Amino acid sequence: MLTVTLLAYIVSPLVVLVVLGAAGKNPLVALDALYRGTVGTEAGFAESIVQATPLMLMAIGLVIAFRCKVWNIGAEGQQVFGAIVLTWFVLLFLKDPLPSYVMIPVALFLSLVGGGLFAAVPGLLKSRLGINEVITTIMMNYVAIDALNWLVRGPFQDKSIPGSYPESPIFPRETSLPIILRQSSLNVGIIVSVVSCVLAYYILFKTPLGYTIRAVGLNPSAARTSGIPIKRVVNSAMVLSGALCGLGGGVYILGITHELLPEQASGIGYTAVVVALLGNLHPLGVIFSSIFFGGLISGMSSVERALQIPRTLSLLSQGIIIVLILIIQVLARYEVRRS
Amino acid sequence: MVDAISNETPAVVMRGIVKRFPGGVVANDMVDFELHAGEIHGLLGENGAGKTTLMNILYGFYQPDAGSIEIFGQPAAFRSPSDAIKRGIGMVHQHFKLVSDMTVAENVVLGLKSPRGILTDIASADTRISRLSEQHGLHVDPKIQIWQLAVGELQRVEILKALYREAKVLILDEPTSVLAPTEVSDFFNSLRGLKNTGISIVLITHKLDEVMDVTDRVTVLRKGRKVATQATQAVNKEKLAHMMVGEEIPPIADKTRTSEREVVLQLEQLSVFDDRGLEAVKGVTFEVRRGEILGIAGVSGNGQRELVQAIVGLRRSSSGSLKFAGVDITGKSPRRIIDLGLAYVPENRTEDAIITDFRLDENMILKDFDKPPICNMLADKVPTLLNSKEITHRGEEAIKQFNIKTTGISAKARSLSGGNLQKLILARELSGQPSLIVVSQPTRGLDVAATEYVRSILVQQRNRGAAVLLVDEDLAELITLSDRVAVMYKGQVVGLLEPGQFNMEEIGLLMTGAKKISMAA
Repeated sequence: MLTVTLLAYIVSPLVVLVVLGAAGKNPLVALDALYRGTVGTEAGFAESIVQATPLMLMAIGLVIAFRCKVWNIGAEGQQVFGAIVLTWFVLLFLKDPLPSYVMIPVALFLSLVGGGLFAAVPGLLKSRLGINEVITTIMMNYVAIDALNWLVRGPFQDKSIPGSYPESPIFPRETSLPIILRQSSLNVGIIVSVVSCVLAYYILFKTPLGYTIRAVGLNPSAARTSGIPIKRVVNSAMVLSGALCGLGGGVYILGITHELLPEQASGIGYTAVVVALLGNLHPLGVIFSSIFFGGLISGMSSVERALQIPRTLSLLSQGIIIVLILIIQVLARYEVRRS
Repeated sequence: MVDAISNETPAVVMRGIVKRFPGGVVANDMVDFELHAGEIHGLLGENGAGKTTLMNILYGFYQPDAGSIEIFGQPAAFRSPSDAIKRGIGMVHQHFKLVSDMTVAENVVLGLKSPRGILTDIASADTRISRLSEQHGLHVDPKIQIWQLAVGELQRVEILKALYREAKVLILDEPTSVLAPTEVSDFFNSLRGLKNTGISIVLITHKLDEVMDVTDRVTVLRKGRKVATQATQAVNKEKLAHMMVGEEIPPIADKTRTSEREVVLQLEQLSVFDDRGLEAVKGVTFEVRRGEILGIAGVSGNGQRELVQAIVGLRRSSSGSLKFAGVDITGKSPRRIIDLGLAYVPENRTEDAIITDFRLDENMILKDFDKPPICNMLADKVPTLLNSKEITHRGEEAIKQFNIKTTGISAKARSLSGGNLQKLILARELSGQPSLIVVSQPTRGLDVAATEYVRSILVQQRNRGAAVLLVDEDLAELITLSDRVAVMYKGQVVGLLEPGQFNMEEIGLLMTGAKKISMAA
């Protein structure tokens, strides 16, 4: 099954290239651009990792919720809210920033707390009142996005520049995540993400909390009969999940944008759902699927530039690749019954 | 003596059936099976002998690796149960295949074409089911949702499903495991009635009494092979048991009386509502003492389920009191009651006691995964990481002590057969020396060896001084094991019998409400 998955990851982009060829574009140019955009050049590789980083955090956060069968579709809202809380803190120290070894950990910690609190609301609604979390988390996404849009045009807006741009002031450089690779945007965020995946592994498989999360997800009836407090476990799963998503938003803003923009709500939270599922809801799988996705995003934008195809076509290709991967995995398990 | 109907085309002929499962298990090894038209044929064997697999092949659930099947003389190759159903084969499984949020009628017609084309027609199904239900004495209300029914009633729905589809061959997998003695004889009368209308019946069972009572012929399987097919008149229980097991079955361990008489569980006028909001338990009063087994007798659906749920903390009682070792446990959570020393072996093993996708060792720690020694603690108060060495050790000990047949502690629980699953549950529940053991249908679906084992364990625990509350629809077993018996009918205890007052007929009358013993004040 593993080899099939890996094969699927390799085969599907090639299929898209064939499609592009049929559309009149040179597939070899596309292949070359894809290669350069992913691992062929330093810049491409850096961009792949940079795109993968927040995805990895959000996806691992979702894994924790999904393992509990808590369907947290609110990664988008949680990451935005995490970024909002972080921005509030940074703006307090805009004129007089503290050193980076204080600013960064505190900022990231606040994005974590923000995401966790934001997720606690749908979590409590589910555990206390049985309200479906798919609906509440999606609705909370709108709340966060609207709050974001208001804040960047209001209290958080950069008033120091002429004109009325919907953005916060640029963050002081003390908040920028340290760069690992010179002349690129590859930063320590990836280390935070990978470490989070390792921690998630330990939590899920080596701690009582993770045990209860998995037990409740697999058989809530047996869990309840054995004395496991279902409500508390569901709440914990949601809060933990939201916290990691919030952290993802924090890493996104401190690593890539360095200011609060409407583009913080880029839809990355929804992509994280796909990344989590493709990773088979396992920390190791998530590391691989998020890096694959980061490469996909970076590679396709390189193809976009090389072939001069519109953005939408590039996004369409990404979608086709995802569907292909899923289809290949299903076909690999399909058995024809002999009569 | 061979019966005269053997000259007709047999209803079912299975020849040389082989079925292998991954892991090297050969469930059926060149098995031949023949069902004559209009007979009731018993299929006997221990768990793992291959009876359910063989019938699942007949029903189209599995495809055999080798062998052939003929239905009424015509070859058959079923790719799925719907093929088998079209040829008139109906099966009622041990593990019910019902959708809990749908009504009885909706479940019965599931998969069938509607008489109204694209629109459903549940009303006509309701009518037809009520008729069938009256006809065969299988009383159930077609409009009720499945989750509200007790196990015995679910059984009736499963049988109605097959009858609704006009099955000509009916395969019944342990059907009487949920019926009371008087119901069993009524049930067998229905079977005889069905047989008279030309339906051929395969009865998969462990109960030798029933084989002798209602079958015309019996086939015994052991370890995947057929041992023999005999006319029922030509054998007796001892011969059958010997064929099944191949060795002497040890008698139940002697119950030695203990002198401990301290009250462990006390119920006082306890009332409990069921899911429909009706009173399922009405003012029940009794106690269970150390060193005794109190049996609760009763037909499924008379409040036993709700009673047990209230005792173990899964259901709020509406009035009355519940005390465990003097501590008031009314309304307390399962966690608290477990901590006080409760062991609970539920009747629905795969639903309420085991997480099938967890491994054996993971299932073993279901009650104390956050306590030492299973969990490492910080400052003796805060749980930190799970101790994998301890977990492994506990899993291995359980396998060894309880003789659980499995590939190892990392095997998923879903790979275990019924008997081994029950052993796993007992291993876990009994490890903490519990003072109160609540157990429901302990030997349902278990083979002869596992049944004896479980019974001896219960007696052992009683001798150790535990208080055991035994809810069992197998009346013979209940009487064998219990020190005292309380009979439940329509939510009340209609009789509390001391040893010496045990009498199958008496209890049967109490169970069906024909009689009531007034309690001494």
